[in-house]
Amino acid sequence: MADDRRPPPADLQRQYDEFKSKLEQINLKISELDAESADHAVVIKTLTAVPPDRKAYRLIGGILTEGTVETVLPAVKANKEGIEKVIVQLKSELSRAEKDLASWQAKHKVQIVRDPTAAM
Amino acid sequence: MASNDEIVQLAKRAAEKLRINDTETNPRGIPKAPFIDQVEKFVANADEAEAMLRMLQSMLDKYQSMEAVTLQKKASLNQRVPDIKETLQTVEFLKEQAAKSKSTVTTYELDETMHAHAQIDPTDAVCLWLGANVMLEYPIDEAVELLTERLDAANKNLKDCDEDLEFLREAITTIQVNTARVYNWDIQRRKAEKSRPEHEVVT
Repeated sequence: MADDRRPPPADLQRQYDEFKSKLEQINLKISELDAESADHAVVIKTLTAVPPDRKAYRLIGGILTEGTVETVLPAVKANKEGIEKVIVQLKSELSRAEKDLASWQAKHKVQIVRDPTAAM
Repeated sequence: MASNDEIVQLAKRAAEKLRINDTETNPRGIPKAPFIDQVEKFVANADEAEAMLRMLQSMLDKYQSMEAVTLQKKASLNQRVPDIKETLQTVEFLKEQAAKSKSTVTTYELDETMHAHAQIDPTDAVCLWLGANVMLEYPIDEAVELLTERLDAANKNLKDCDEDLEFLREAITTIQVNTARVYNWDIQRRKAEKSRPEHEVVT
């Protein structure tokens, strides 16, 4: 029986897929930025270990700028902080998206089942 | 590895259930999958069988996702090792040239479709790309040292990856065998329940 409050199963599946792909996207972005932040940490460690007047270069928007460790290090540190801020933002976005999914699931009384055709 | 904690927790619970006192782990802290030798010792009824199957499934999921992560890591290392090797060779070549006070004539890429001639005078410093948009100048000897260290580390990492993969495959097989054993045991139990006679007479 057609009921206004009950969307057809195909719609629910599509909505679920949308939730899923959003979560995946955020997760992917977070792991990308995590890797980048780890990269920065290694570079910072290396830069702190060498004499501060050593020549160093930084690539800014495709242009390589010459400087010394002393001038490059703060920029790299600032960059890392920026990345970490974005990660925090994305994580809160992720938990919001997870909550959305949970409340959607509760609202429409949806149970998520494992696809039996998928590899076990 | 982020999923390590989860699998350690699962393995601990499994060990408790199977009454195994200590869980063995490999050098990277991946727990060994316990083997269920006598199903009837741990599973008495349908509910317990189902709970056991569920636990095995979640362990399998975790092991498999760890396998996927490790495979990815191995692929990226396999790419990195030749890169480091090439850089190291080039730096060593430049060092030799510098020792002979010889300049090197080469071509360099000016644009994707255009190369130009370049002459590299004997040099005692090279710049290495560190990542994070940073390039740092190194005295040649220090560069050789750094690259050799990185190469060794990458190779060791690769070896660890292979070890982990073998360990994980074994764990996955063990869990799959466990699953099959519990499953078959449950089927046999059901059969036995069905065929049990309702009345018995003595002759």
